[in-house]
Amino acid sequence: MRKRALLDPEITRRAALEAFRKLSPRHQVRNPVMFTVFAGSVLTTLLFLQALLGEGEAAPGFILAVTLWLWFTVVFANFAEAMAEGRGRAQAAALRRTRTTTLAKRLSGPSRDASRHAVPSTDLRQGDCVLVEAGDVIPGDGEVVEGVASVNEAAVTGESAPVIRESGGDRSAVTGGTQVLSDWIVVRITADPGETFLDRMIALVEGAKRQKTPNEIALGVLLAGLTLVFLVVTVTLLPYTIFAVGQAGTGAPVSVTVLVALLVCLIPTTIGGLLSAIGIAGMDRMIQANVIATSGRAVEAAGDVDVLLLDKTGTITLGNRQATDLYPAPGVTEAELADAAQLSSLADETPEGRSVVVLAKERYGLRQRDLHALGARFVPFSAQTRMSGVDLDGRQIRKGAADAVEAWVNSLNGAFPAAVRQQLESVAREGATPLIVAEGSRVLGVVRLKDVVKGGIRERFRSLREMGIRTVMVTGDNPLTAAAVAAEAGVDDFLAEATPEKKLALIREYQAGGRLVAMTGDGTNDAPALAQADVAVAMNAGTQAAKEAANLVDLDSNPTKLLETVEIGKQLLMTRGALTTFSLANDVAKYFAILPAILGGLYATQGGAGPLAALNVMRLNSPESAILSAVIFNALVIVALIPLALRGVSYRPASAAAVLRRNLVLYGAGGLVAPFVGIKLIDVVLVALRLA
Amino acid sequence: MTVWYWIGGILSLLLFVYLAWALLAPERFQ
Repeated sequence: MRKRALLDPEITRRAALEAFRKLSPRHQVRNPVMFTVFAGSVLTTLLFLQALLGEGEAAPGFILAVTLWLWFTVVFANFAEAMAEGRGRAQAAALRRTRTTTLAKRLSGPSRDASRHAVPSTDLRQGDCVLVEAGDVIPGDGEVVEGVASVNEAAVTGESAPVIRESGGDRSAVTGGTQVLSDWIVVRITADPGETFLDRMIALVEGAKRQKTPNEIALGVLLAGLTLVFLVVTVTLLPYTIFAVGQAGTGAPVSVTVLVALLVCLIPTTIGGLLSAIGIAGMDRMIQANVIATSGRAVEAAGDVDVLLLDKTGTITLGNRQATDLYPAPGVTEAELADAAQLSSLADETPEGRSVVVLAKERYGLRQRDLHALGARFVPFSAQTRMSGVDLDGRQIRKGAADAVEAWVNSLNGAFPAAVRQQLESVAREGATPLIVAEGSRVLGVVRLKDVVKGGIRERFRSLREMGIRTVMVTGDNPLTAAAVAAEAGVDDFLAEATPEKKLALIREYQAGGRLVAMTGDGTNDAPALAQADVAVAMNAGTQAAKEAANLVDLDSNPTKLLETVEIGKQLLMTRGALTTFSLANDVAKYFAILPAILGGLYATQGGAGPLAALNVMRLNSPESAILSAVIFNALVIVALIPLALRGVSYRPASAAAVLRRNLVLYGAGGLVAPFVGIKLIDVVLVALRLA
Repeated sequence: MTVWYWIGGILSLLLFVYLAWALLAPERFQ
């Protein structure tokens, strides 16, 4: 998906308008911090109108200046939210462009030969079957029920290389708006118009259904609590100053305008105003990584995850394992093993299967044969049997993982030769995958498949470990191979001979220990584990069941994306934490600006300045300029931090302690110092312009 | 002037109740 400039002029213009539309009390009331500012602005507006009539508590110009900047504070916070929403809407529009109405060839049954007639794609309903031929746009989300085709999914993924979609298996899902490049497929539509997967995602991205996440609610409680405390603090200053003036007989009690200004400066407006923008921007960043979240909660959970279950193939190792050697069992010739291995792999379209065929052809001169001509029946791989093969002239040839084949051989009253067991252990110890080939109850030998660990993955796992994330490699391989690959890749643990049940049990075990687990999956048999995991990333190319069970969908179908997903979630949480720290640290300087302005005139002995005027460490020009500078700084800092809220703080993998230390220094100390400098500067400018 | 103290006082009281509500039932503020 296209990267957008941070401040796209069109989005900025619309956000500016939207910021004023959001001034309605009904919108404001949902954010306690900003609603307090809103209420304060209304009060000072009334005070200004009264001052115009000549009976005001202060000069009308001063009240007007404070009032305007209070309104700006509300508008700037609205603007931040509108910017984030606008960017989300732009993303949604890009997604929606894939949703053009096309003519579909609706079939009367799930077969290419069924009668067909043309209908607009918007008339298609769940369960309808359509024929899509080369050059046609797929009219809706669905599952391939017949045929194989190459599909250009660039409209959804931005990836121009075509992908294969075929009936059965885990590559059967097609997305509406993508285009068939060659051959034909029959697609059963799985969603009514307006309810497709992408439609639901678009609604979420646009913020229409955005719900606050648990972390946002928790932070909201903290912010409301702080606002409440500061409200009490501010209100009590009025009777205090009235009392002090009465006792000393000099000075003036604090004005309501100044109290409102103080309250607004003390409550955490920075984080209160940017909170929703940060959340929306997090979802937006997910989408830019071509991952669609079903809720803000999912993005946030990705940042909290501490266990990653990673599929070995495609994530840790390159997808294509290659057959490199054949080791026959005692009493079996190499040619016999090669023949059986090739027969069992002829209809196996996986890269592994193809490499076995190629090895037999190149090394043993066996020509590729046609299964149909031989009258053979192909037995496809399943996650339960973990074997594939052929039935041919009464011969049952199978190849698969050692334990699966052994169970099969044993069930036929055969024996598993000790020499083969030794051979497969030595293959496994090298980190290669042994496949066993058997014919009926007779074990023929071992095929060695070589795994290639991806470059740079070890470093990535090391940085994850530093962040406190445990990586677990999940593989169908036997424990010896798994251990060798795990050691080479540098993962913390592995689950060998994994079945969907074992995966589910492992996730439950980690969750029982109070950990949050993330995983990826694409097959229907992954669905239970995906539903159980806290963060579940489904591949867009995967089955509908997997996508329904997951809370994130990767449009690129790239399992390595899980790592990026976690990083984006972490970045979201760090951004929120950093801006909260900054916002709270800002208060110190505001105290030093406003309190001397309120209290400096009390107990004055000479020249109008009392002992508390010593608090004016910034040497601000006058009480009015001090208050105005603090209010202006408070409003401008929201604008200044919008880019940071939208882009997120710079992310570097590090331990929680290191991140905390860095953020405390940067945003804590920075938040302490910045307003001293900022308020002083604004005061100097106000004086220079003779505005205060 | 005292009328503004009353207005400010009542407004503060209302804000106090509202904020206490936000504190105790945050899920209502979606």
